[in-house]
Amino acid sequence: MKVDTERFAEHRIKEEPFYLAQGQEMRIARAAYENQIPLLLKGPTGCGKTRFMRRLAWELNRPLITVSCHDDLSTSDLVGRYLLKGGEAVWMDGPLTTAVRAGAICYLDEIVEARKDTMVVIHPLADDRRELPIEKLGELLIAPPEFALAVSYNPGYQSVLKDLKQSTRQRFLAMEFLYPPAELEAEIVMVEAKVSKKIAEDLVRLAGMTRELKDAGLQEGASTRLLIHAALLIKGNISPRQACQAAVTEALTDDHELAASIGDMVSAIF
Amino acid sequence: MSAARINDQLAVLLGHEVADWQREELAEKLSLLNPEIRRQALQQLPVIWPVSSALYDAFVDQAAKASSCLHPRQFANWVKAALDVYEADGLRQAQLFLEEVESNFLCQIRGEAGVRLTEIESRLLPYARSILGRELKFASADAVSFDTSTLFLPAEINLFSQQSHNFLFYKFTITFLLSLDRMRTFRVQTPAGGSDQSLSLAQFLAKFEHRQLAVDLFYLAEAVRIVARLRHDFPGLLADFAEFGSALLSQVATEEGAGGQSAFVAALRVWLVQQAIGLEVSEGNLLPEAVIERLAGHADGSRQAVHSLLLTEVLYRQAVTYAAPYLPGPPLPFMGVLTIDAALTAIDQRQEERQEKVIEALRRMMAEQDKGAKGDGDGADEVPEESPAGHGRPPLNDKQGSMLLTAGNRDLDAAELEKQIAQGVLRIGGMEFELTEELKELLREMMQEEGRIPGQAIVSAAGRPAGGLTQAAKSEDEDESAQAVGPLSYDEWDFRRAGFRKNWCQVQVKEISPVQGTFVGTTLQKYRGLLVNLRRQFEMLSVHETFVKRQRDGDEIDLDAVVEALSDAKAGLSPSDRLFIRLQRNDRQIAALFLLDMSSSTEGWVSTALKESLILMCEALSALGDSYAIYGFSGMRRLRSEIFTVKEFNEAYDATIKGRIAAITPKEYTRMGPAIRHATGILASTEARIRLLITLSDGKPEDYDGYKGAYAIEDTRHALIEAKMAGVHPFCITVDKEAHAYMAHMYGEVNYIFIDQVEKLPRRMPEIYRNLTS
Repeated sequence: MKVDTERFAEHRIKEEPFYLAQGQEMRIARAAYENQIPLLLKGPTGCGKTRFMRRLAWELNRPLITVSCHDDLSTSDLVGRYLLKGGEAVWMDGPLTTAVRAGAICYLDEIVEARKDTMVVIHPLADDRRELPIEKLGELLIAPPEFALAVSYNPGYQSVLKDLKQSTRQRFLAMEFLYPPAELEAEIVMVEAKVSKKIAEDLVRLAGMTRELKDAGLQEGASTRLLIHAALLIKGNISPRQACQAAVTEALTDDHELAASIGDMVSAIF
Repeated sequence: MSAARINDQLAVLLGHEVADWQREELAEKLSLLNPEIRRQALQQLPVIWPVSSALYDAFVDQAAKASSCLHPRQFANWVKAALDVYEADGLRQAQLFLEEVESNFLCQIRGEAGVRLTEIESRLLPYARSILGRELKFASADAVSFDTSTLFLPAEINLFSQQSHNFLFYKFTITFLLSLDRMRTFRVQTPAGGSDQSLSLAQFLAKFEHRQLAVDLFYLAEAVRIVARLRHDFPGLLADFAEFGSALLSQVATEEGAGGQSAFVAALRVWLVQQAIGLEVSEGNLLPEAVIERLAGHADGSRQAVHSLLLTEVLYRQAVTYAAPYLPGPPLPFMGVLTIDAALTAIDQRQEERQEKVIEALRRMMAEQDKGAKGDGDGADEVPEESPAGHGRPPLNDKQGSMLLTAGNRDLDAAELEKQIAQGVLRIGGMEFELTEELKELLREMMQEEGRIPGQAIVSAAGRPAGGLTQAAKSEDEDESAQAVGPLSYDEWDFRRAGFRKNWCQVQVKEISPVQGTFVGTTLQKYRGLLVNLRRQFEMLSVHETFVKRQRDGDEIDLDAVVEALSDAKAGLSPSDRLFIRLQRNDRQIAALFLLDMSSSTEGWVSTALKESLILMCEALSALGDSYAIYGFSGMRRLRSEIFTVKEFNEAYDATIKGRIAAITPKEYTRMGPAIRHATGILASTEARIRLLITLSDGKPEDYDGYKGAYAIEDTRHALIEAKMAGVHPFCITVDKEAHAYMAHMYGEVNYIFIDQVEKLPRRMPEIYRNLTS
């Protein structure tokens, strides 16, 4: 089967994605890629997992195919299915198959959200067999060396239904992503939203304060992504207090009392 | 004034469209009011009556009550607010608003814009915690101060005419006082140089002849530094403060008349407030030019506390040039007083507690890792009862010991240690230990607060091989001879010998006899709003996954499947016959067992909150249809662990169960291991796909005999591991503030949740359950 080159070109990352390394993660990821070991990224939401994947794909000069998993994501959604086109049945590759054929990087975001039966195709692809059986085509694809698989999940969600099985997790090389240290985070916010150092530092201080509340009512503190949102609003001439209200406070919680507390943090800083 | 005369007056005001009986009734009511209130009420007549006569009726009804807390002159405002409510939410709400005059309108109207500590506590406590980075308390006191653990604040602030300003002043005060800890005010030391020894703050202040003067000057110097830092860290706070802070100036300025040293201190206070407001140096300030220059130089966020000591000396020298002696005036309301002794005591206490924890954790860690290194062979044979020295870590050999001691004589180098903590290892005396999460957290906290790790902590840990446990093991040996046998006996895990003590605990299952009472009714009443929501949410949860796609038969056709099958058929593949959607109920297949800590420590609030939570859970779960059971546990000593059956899986939630929940009372101790093993057994025999064991607890496992400390934690941990192996998911909800120290170790990091305020438990628990199972 021929690779749809046009569709594949869309997944090339043309511009250099901004990413500040926190440690050795890039080296480890490259080593994993060279040794054909799939990657498992874990960490709270908005701390840079997806950005890291884009950067990695750019550095390796491979297309990146990202699939955001949801609870109705089935094996067919990943592998592909027959569609009826003008009375003809036409096979359409799913994103995973496309990635294998094209030697791209396939990134399954929030893997635990996907239906359990998807593991059937992920497991043989994630160990040293590196094969993808396409039942309906009667085909067994062997992944080329350029192909790589990466998945992410957030261990902070405390649902027993959404835990990765040992048989799955032990196929991966795992890396934990945490919020970057304050200085680094400020730099990220600065570059991403093009705001002044002062604003970036203030936002990072706010994030630090909200993260202290993690066990006192908040499920998670403000992520780097939220800070960037807030910074973008500030950049767009919205007053910092209003920007944080919309981007941070309301995004974090529905509890009015807690929101008031976060509002107090915001108004102390801005 | 008689009703008849009022009636005449009303006739004039209302005209004659109004029915006579209505006017008379109103006149009757008005005649009962005192003249001043009646006058005001009549004044409001043209305002309210055209809008709604019924509302005016309500207004007259409430006028007498309102006058007890509202000056009649302020009726106009009250009425205006009531009309706003009427327009927004209708007559009923407006009537309610009028009725609740005492609670919701009183302060604002009386011109008393005061804010009470109790009102702001729940809002500003998380704020304060987010700044300090650890737990703290608020307490009301006449004198404002901060001892690094508790913030003493006035019960009410009404310095300003606007309520929002009073609130912001609370916030400013809190932020300011917290800075005393953040900026290490109490831990300042004079630099040691030459023959001078380093002095602590108390020693430094004791040098001065007028100690109080020195203390106040030092506090002012610190305040200057803190305000400068706040300007950097919390510019928004200071911008808010600038709006209303000038009102403080007039208050301080009036004290300046005192003359002499007191006037000097007052002038410094004025300067400080001006600084905080962001005013340029005002004219007419009494301070000499040179002092102002020094102060301005000191107002720099990067200054250290030690600079304040130097400034104190300068200011003191200047102060004593004035003849009139110092009479301490009232402090600035946001500064309060500097309670050095209390703060040092609190710091010491926290330090001690933490050090003790570090020692304990280090010791446990060393013991574990030593054991691992020794190999399994001799570890298993070791019988702890016979050789006390064999508990945990063996005594260090001489070489190791001396190395540890050399390491211990000096504090560990901060930078080096930070690096080690980041790497997750600790190198002491040539030995390398892997740090546990708990230790990492503790050491980080210690570094943060004290800036160093006392080497002594580590030596103590190394030199104390399981000290606490030797004691524990002995007391336990007393009843060794009575081997527990019986229908329900459970093994207990002894981590020191890495093996089970066979049939060690005897569990007795007891019934709770239901009581009739108001508890259940009151709870349902109290949370009725929440309950409506809960039932709805849980019902939604139960229908969440009821449409099952791709079934062989069902109520509806699965279009996706049909299209796929057609495509497959066209492509020459055999099409699937799973083409239907079926509505399936109760597909959740979840069995949840709630295990309730009934130890005596839950007495009081905790117990009530636990019981309320259970009632809410039962109500919510009966909407959902998950099968669930509730057991309580307590007991004393290993031969009498007790399990109390509140609700079994096959029992329906009815009056008997409600009665049993109401009858739950705190009993004795918390021996968790056998309770968990018992519950695991019950859960394992259910047929559910997902088996949840939810423990509700308020503290560490502990029993009267040696079941405490590491032994108890390790046994509980092992019981939980056994549960996991049996296919049970354990989860813990705890209200113990110390929970982080051991919970993650026992349950695993994401398998517990800590509720900081026990009052929140009933609200949070159903939410937690929902999160857990969806």
